[in-house]
Amino acid sequence: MAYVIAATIIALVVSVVYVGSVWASFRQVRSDKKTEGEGHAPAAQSSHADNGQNESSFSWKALISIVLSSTILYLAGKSAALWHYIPFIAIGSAIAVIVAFSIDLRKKA
Amino acid sequence: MLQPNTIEPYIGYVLMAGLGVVMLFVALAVRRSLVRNTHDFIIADRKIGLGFGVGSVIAVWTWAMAVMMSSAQAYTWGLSGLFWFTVPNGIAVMAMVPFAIKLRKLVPNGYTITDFIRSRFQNRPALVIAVIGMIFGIFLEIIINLKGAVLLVQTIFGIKEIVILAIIIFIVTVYSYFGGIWTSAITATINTLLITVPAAIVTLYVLYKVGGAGVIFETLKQQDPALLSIFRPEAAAGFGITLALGLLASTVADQTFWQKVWAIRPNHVKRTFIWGGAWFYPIPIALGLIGLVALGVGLKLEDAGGDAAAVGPYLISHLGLPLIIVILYVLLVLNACYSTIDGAFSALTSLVAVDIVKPLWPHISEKRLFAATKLSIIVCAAIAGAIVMSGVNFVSLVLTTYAIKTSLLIPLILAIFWKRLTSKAFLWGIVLSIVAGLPVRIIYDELIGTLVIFGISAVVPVVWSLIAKEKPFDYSVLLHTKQLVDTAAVEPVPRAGQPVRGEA
Repeated sequence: MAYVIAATIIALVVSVVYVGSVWASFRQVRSDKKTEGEGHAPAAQSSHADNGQNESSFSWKALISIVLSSTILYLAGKSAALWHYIPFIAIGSAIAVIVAFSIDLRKKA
Repeated sequence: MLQPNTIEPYIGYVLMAGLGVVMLFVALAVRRSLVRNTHDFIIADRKIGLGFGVGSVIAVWTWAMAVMMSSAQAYTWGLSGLFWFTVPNGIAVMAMVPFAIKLRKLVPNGYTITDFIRSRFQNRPALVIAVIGMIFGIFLEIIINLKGAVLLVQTIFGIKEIVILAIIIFIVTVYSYFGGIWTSAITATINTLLITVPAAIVTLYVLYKVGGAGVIFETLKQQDPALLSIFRPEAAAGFGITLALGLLASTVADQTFWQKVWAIRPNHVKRTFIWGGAWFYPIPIALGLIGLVALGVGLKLEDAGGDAAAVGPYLISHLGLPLIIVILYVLLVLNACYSTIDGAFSALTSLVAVDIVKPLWPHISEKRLFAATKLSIIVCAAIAGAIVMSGVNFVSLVLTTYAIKTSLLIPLILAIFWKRLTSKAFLWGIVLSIVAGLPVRIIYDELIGTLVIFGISAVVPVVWSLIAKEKPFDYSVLLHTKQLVDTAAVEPVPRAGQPVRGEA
């Protein structure tokens, strides 16, 4: 039961921060839209500004996530101890989205 | 350990409708603040940031059926089933990255992948096949998610199929109608929270209820130690390899993802898909444990109606869990269903506006283009609903869609990266692979059929292009290609009572 209680507490905190991040980001987008003013800037302006040429197509993060997921599943077959921790990584997905929002807001600041 | 299900059906109605009302409220707020014209509606002015990008990619890729299938594959094959279901799913999302980066450079103002095919080949039959493939794919996403939601609500609440379908189609259609891709991105991001957090709490409570993970682990070990291995070759041969190949086609040859590629800020495209794929992993891994618990407590497949996908909902409603845990599980699956259907509707609007309405009526006014785009959502919902409610076996739709999308994958990759690929090679690669591969898939074997489709769709375009010796395609012309909706779409949509430009 301790795991359930711990997960519930973490989930509540994460949910509040998550909703706050969504709201802050939504407000940011809305104010950007307003500052663009009455003008309706054509898409070409935004898309040519930075067309992502600094991005390579390979990412070690992708490789790590694949290896890590496979390792978690492999270890889940070795010991039951890990099973109680595995569900917590689902909350990690929500935290990742919060981090993504914070990167957005930090870049804006 | 299993107990009779005593959950009242009215809770099911409240959950389906309540979630819809919340999403409708969000959609209306988004619509009022962010959507001014067709351009906003179908491409979000290319301003979606990393947060909404990652949040929406995770939710759109988490299908209702996938939530239940992760438990189902774990129940059927043990950890090998979970491994082969989970790992290719994340890879499929991350595999978008090289194609997305390349096309965002080649066509910075793109809208749809089929629009790229039109510009690249100027070949009407090739374009028609691609558009059909995309639209069939969208229908399939909607139908499969509706089926998933029906399975869940029927298993837990015992509500009639036709009632569930009518409620869900109506709700998602209404809130999708109001916002386009902005609504889709923001509601899907909220959906991600409502998928990930309940997944953790529900799984942990299930483990607690059955006496802890150790009990299940030991039971499975006694039943068959192979259930706790990720290296069972039967799982790979049984569904894993076919699923992995099919999933690649489900992202790279799917407008739902391409719409996001062009709607997300260019500097966030790579990170969005890497994070989306990587942070999708925890969802099926966590929910897969429910399938292992079902195995451990000795749940019989016949009890769950003979469908492995129903194992998760059946277990959740027969373990005597507190009502709040059951509600969290139902919300989790409904959120997955709503977000995927909403994303599919949003992708449909971009296809309809850019690839159907604009080419047929190039001088259509912004007001009418916007109306036609939104009308397509209602038409699509009506057709999808009719297909599912009619009770017809839609296996042929699944097979045809799968064949077209699989056959599109390699020619599409070649079109993006290989300048020597000719339009006829592209077209015949797709046509011949469908003609030869589909019968093989139906008559012989799913895996062999898939490999035939992949083989022909790779060999024919390459050999044809090498023999043809046509002048290589100059990708730089795409940079200057006039986009179909640039002229009209950025004009504001008139508010009620305002005169439309040209009418005043």
